[in-house]
Amino acid sequence: MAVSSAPGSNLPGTMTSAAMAVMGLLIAGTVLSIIIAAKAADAPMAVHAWLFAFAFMAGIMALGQRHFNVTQGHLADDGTGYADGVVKAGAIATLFWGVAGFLVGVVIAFQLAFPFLNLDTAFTNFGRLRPLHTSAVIFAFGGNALIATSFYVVQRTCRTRLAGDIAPWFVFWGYQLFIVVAATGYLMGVTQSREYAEPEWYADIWLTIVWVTYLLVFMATLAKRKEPHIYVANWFYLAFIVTIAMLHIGNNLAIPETWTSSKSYALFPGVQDALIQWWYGHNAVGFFLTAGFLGMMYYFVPKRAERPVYSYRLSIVHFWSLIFIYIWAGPHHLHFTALPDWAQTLGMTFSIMLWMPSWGGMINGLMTLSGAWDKLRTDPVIRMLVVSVAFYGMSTFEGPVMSVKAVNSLSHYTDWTIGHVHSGALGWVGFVSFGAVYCLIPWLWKRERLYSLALVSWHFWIATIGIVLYITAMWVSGILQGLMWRAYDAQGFLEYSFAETVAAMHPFYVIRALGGVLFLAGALIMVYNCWMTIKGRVRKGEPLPASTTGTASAGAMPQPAE
Amino acid sequence: MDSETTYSLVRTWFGTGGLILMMVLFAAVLAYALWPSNKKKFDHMAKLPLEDKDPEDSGKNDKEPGQ
Repeated sequence: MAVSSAPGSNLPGTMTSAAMAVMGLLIAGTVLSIIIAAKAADAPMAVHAWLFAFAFMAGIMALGQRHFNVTQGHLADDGTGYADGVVKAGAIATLFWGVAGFLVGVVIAFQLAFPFLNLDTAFTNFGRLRPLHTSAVIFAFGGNALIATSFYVVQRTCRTRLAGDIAPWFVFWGYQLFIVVAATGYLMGVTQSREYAEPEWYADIWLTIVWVTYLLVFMATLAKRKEPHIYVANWFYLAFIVTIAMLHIGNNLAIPETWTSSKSYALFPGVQDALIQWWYGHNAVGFFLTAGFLGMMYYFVPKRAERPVYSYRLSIVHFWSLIFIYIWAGPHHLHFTALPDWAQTLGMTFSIMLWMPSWGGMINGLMTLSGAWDKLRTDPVIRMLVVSVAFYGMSTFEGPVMSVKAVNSLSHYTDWTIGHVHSGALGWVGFVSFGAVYCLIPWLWKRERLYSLALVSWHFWIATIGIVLYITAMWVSGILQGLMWRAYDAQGFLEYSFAETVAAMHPFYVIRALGGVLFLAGALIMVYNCWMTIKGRVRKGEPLPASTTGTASAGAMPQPAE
Repeated sequence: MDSETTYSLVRTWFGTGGLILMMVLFAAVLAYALWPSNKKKFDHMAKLPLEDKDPEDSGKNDKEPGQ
């Protein structure tokens, strides 16, 4: 099957006029960055301007190196097959940022239990490390998993090579640069204080450029597809990319103090600003952490289970109802605030309606295994994928419950919310990404199967116990906290001081931190397993022929000897 | 027209309009998904992930797992 780009097109890395234009833009970007660095109004801006300058220079050198490689015939990729180099890079970046993000999560969990771990410096205090953790896990770990899998899936399901030569690599490296700018900014105290959108205006502009390129690469690949219909996973990926572009731009409308300052002010005032923030915030959950990962589910679950999608019709209804309903659910973050009451009710109503598409999708994912349930026992990777879908069902049941005003009056601002987020993030997003990467590593590096399936089992169980410790601790702690806050004595005074409620949290914070340690340990096992797979090793206790017949899986491709 | 009236007018019309629009769209999605002549296409699409093979593997690795 020919997946080639247009006949007569240049080899990847050739200096076409488009490549020259990119080179010119990178040079202009370098000059602009150096000017901003020289005129910077504050130290963080100077640091970041230098960072941009060096990144742009590295880009210029990389383009040049690619050109020399192609002229000297050193290029492995002849531009005819699928473009998988960028997917490989994305899979490795997913593992790297995953471990980094989980590690920071463990650190801040211990900081909450033992405050002396804030170390009395501005750089390492909880307030700065917390956005570092959330951004690292959501955008660095999750984002890289989404970009890598979307590039993999769109090529396979459209049977065509990824559009663009430099553009996919620009998306990958540009996105890493955004992550580094965001992360170093948090440590230096650069933040616009918008949840899940803390990076300041210049990082936001950079991400907009990267994201629009991502959208163009994805749409151009869809446009040259060789399948008449666009597979449902691509619909979900596309909804994720388009909506995040819209949300990111809407939420980050701000006016910088000066063009050399790292500080900006939001365009909207007061409650309008709060609503925009949570329109963005909840749809970051709905479209980044849900729609994108559902795209992953609709490809990797059927592929790994070797079963067709349970109901393709349901997947269509699932898609359209999910995206039409999710976008309205944000106001449930603003119950009992200055937001008009009808808007709060609207947010709550749409959140409850979300039960339908969420559970429809979960049922579709789980039932895809019908006829292949035995694989749950034999293939730990499919077990991970299936448990991720189960966690998706659980957290999308819990979320609407918590959006009901009566429940929210107890749960809001307590640790229950944190527990809910983590059952979705660790259980659903984490596990479905782990499952997808466990599939991708042997497929991309052409290995017969993973280094060790036993280690996948270890990862699965250790991480699952970690999640259970985490969410049960946060349920107890959150409900306890909520009840203590609303307890009145006989005279109508508050029964507990705030400090007393904080002290009551301590044991649960320790349990939560231990759960986090387990989840991190599982991820480290995964890194080792993937690393050995990439190196081409096979674990001694699990010889290949036995396992390829015994625990047959998509990762274990029967291959004739070469 | 004072702003109170404008507000309630806009709110009523957008509320009702939104309701009608969403119902119509949902009905259209259901009709598309359940339309009998689309069944063949959807059955093919449901199996799509199982059929994609890496072209660069052809000859050495083109067997689908489990076959």
